[in-house]
Amino acid sequence: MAKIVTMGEIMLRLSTPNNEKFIQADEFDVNYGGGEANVAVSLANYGHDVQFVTKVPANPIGECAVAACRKYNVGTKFIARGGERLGIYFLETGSAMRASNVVYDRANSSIATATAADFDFDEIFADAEWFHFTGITPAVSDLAAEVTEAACKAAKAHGVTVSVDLNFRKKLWSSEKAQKIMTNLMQYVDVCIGNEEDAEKVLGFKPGNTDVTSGELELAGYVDIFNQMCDKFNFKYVISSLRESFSASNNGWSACIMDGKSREFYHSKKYSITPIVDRVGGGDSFAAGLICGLADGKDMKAALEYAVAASALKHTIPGDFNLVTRAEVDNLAGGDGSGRVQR
Amino acid sequence: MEKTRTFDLLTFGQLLLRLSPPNNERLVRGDTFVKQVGGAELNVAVGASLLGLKTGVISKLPSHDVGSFMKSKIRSYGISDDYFLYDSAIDARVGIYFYENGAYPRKPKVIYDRGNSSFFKIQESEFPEKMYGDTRCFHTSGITLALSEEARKTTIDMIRKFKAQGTIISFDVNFRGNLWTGEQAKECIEQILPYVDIFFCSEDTARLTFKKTGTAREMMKSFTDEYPISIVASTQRIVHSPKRHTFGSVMYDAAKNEYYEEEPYRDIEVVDRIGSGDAYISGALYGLLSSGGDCQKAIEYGNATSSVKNTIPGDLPSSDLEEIETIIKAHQSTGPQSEMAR
Repeated sequence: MAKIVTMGEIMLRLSTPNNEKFIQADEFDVNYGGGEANVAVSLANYGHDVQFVTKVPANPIGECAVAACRKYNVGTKFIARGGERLGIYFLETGSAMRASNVVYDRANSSIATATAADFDFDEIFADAEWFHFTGITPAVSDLAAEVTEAACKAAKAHGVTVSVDLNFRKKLWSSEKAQKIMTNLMQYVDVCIGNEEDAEKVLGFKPGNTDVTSGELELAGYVDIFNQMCDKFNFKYVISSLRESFSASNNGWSACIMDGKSREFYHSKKYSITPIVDRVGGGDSFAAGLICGLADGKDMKAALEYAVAASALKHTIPGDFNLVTRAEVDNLAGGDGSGRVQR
Repeated sequence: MEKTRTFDLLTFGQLLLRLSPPNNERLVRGDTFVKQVGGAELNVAVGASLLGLKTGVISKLPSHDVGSFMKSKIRSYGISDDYFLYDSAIDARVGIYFYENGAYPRKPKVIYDRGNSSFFKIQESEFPEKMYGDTRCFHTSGITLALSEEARKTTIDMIRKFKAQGTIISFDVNFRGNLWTGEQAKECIEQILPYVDIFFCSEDTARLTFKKTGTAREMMKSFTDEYPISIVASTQRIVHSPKRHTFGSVMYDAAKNEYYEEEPYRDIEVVDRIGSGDAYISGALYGLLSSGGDCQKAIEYGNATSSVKNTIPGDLPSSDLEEIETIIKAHQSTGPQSEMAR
């Protein structure tokens, strides 16, 4: 099993129970999550040796976030303490034609005000094999962007494979700022995950004729963008999940991958996910599945099928974390999507 | 009540989203947080509204859905939102606090997360001039003064403007050591004391923050010697354990040079003590405003409203006039008592 490090923000997730509206609910379900923490939990669940790097406030809410990682066997020894607060996001889970609604409350969080001095990256990456981050971390604050670059540099210096999930978040930064910071970070990246919106907003690549809301997919457009990305950044692999959004409860789900060297392109099997239980963390579970597949030494097609199956399963689990086992993923990737009771 | 003014009482302060694990569960283990709304000045407005005063809250909330939840919650108590402002900035946020109940020997625990909330940016110029002549009484507390530079300036401006329109000014020191130091509080509050008519200040705060000496009664009177304050009230809470308190108060009427006190409520079975000081103020202001300044009535309604609030979960009081009057009657009676209201 590989030694894997992920770094980013973990937030307190406050979601209304049972699809209730914010205005209606008398309580919130309490969960913890965040792009890189979700990837860490998923990878730990597959048996990898994972460390999650972040900073949380030295109060019970911060400790809850750490405990949530620990519960799922994610290493927490590099988590720094201090700063003002844990970021929060409020989630109202949609259904059918009612979209999910997220209210962020993450400004001035401990990770947003962290500096490279909070982390000993030489120790963190000393015997690591893989480092994963997302475009959310550098978007959190200018300081966090600096910390991200420091981590990337150290990872490279230690010969660690670096993956990124571009994950554009328009509520956190503008496309212009994202391009300025993320283009620079791509020099450290080996494996790049991002859909066509990310490729355009984060890296400035023009998309083909893909329109997510219409549910149409234009694979030729992806071949074109992936080629441009590999030309410019020399990625080992470029990957995108392909979500066809028919409603908040019904999505088509597949993915495609390109080998940066041979330029071989592959489109996975497609799943129809309905009804969706919780799609938050779906993209993270995809990234984790892909990292797991590649770190295990699978070929790119098998790794992609594993990732798509894993993330399809995530859509059925409440909370940010993907809590499925290897056996469950293998079973689905191997062809059994019937939902029959396994005995 | 005076006809030309829409409200009996307007209060000014921050509304907080309170998140607490259910019952006696700990913050670190809670799988759910109960969503409640509170805030010192809101608590006062709600308590007074339940007793029959026409009240409103002056505040600022994010225009997003979590802000809307808080607004709708408040409306359900019959509090006016005429003077609410909405912040639609991308970083608009509600103030939050996490609260864990205590049980001896475990103390209740509060974690504030209110920095940079929308209320902190509040400006006096955002409010219409007509507001200042629209209420008989205006109430705020030292918490509002302590939150931010803008909140402090806005509070002081508002107090002056309300006073200029002949409004009764009520002020609760509500000292919070995690918001400012005693010296900062003293310096700031002394600026507004010349405008204050009804002053709520605990014995500890008078001694520690305002550096007063002497007995509780002497300290209360000394405020009215230095400033044109009409009434000073001081609550006295004895904490036997997190679940057992004794509560009483003293009030001083400067014009009559008289102190008012009654037998305290002993051994209150505390369910949730948050907001009980604010509930006292709501009862006291109800007593004063409904009687034309009768301090005896004020302490009776204040003590009863506060004592019963201790038995109610959440920040907000939940007792109407009939319930409070029943409690007062029982408190004052010496004969046998029935164990159930039916």
